[in-house]
Amino acid sequence: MARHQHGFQHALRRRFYRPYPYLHSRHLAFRWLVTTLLGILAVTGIMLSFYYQPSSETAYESVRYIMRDVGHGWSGWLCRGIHYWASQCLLVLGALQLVRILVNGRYRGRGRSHWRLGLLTLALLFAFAFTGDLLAWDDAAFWSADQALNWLDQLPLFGHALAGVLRGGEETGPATLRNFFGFHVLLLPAAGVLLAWLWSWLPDWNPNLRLRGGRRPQS
Amino acid sequence: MIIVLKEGSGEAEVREVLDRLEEVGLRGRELEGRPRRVIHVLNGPTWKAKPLARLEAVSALVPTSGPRHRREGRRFFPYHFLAWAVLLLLVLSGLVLLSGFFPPGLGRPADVLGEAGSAQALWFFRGVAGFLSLLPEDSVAAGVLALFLIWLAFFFLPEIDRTTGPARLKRLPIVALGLFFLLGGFFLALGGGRG
Repeated sequence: MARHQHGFQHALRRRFYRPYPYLHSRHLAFRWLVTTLLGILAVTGIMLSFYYQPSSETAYESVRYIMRDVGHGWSGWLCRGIHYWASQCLLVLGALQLVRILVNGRYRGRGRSHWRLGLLTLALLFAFAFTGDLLAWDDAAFWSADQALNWLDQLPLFGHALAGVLRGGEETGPATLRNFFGFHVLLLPAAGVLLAWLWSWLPDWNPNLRLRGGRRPQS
Repeated sequence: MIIVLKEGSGEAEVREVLDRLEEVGLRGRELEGRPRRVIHVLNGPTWKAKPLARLEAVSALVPTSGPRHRREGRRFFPYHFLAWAVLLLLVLSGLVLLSGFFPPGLGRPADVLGEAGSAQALWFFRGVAGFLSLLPEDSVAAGVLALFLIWLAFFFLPEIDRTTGPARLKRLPIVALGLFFLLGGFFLALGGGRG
C-alpha cells in the first residue's frame, strides 16, 4: 500500500519521528530549559488568572485568597510561588546568556540578529516581571512601580507619553493596575509570540551545533 | 545496485549470479547493450548482494543510490520526550524548593494616597535606582537618558564592534566596557534601590 505523504498522520510522524538533537549541547539544553520555564509560566499564569481579580478594590484580596484558601491553602500558594520563581529564573538565565554571547563575541557577523532579538526578548521578560509585580497590589509593588514609571517619565521625546499610557493617566493608581494586567496577560504574550516566530526564522549560528537531521548550519 | 561481471563472462556466469541473488531473496535482470555484462539488482535490501563480490565472475558492485546519509539525533518519542520529562521534573522540583524556602511575599495593601516611605525597587531595577541616587536631583533626567543610550549602545554593539575572527584581545575594550556596565549595575544594586 502506498504511504500517504500528506494529512494529519503524516504531519505527526514528521514532527515526532524525525531525529531530535541530543540535549548534551549547552546551547540546546539552554533552549529547552527556557522553553520549559516559559511553559511552566504559561500554565501557572493561566491557573492564577482563574482566581485573580484585576481591580484596585479586589486585586490584593484575590491574591491573599490565592495564597491562603485556594486548594486548601497550599496549591494556590505553590502556584504563585512557582510562577514567581520561574519568571525570576528566566530573567537570570536570559541575562547570563547575553553575558556569555558578549564575552564570546557571538554578537558579531551571523550572530547579529540573535543578539538584537536576545536583547528585545530580555526586555520583554523584564516587562513581564515588572507588570506582574504590580498585580499583587501591595504597598511595595505599588511604590516600586511608581518609581520606575517616574524614571520612564523623565525620558525625552516619548518618555512622558509612554509613562502616561502605562499609568492610564497622570498618576499611578487603579487605572495603572488595569493597564498592567492587560499588558501582562494580553499585549506582552502577543509580543512574545511574535518574538518566538522571529526566533524560529533565524538560522543557527553556533558552529558547534548540529541541526535536526545532523546537518551543520550553512556558512 | 549494479553487478559488473568480468570481461569474457558468458551465460553460465550470468545464471550463477542470478541464482545467488535469488538465494538471498533478491531479483536481478541483465542489462543489454553494455560493453561488459552487467546485472541490475531490482528489489529488496541491496546490501544482501554484497557477498556476491567474492564470486569469481564478479568484477565490481556499483551502488545506484548516493552514499547512505545517517541522520543524527534521536526520535522525539520516547527518547527525546523522556529526556525532556526528566528536565521538566528537575526544573519543577527546583521551583517548588525555591517557593518553599523563599515564598513570594505579600505586604500591606497598596495605599495610593499614602507616602512612598521606604519602598524598595524591584531587584532588577536596583542597579538603576543605585545609579540615579548618585546623581543630583536636577540631573536624574540626564541619568535616565544615559541609561537608555547605554541600552541602545548594547543594541547596536555589532555595528560598534567591527572586529572579525576569534582574537579576544581585539575585543577586550568592548568586553571590558560591557562587563563594567553589568558589574557596575550589580554593585549599585547592592547599595542602591531605595525609593
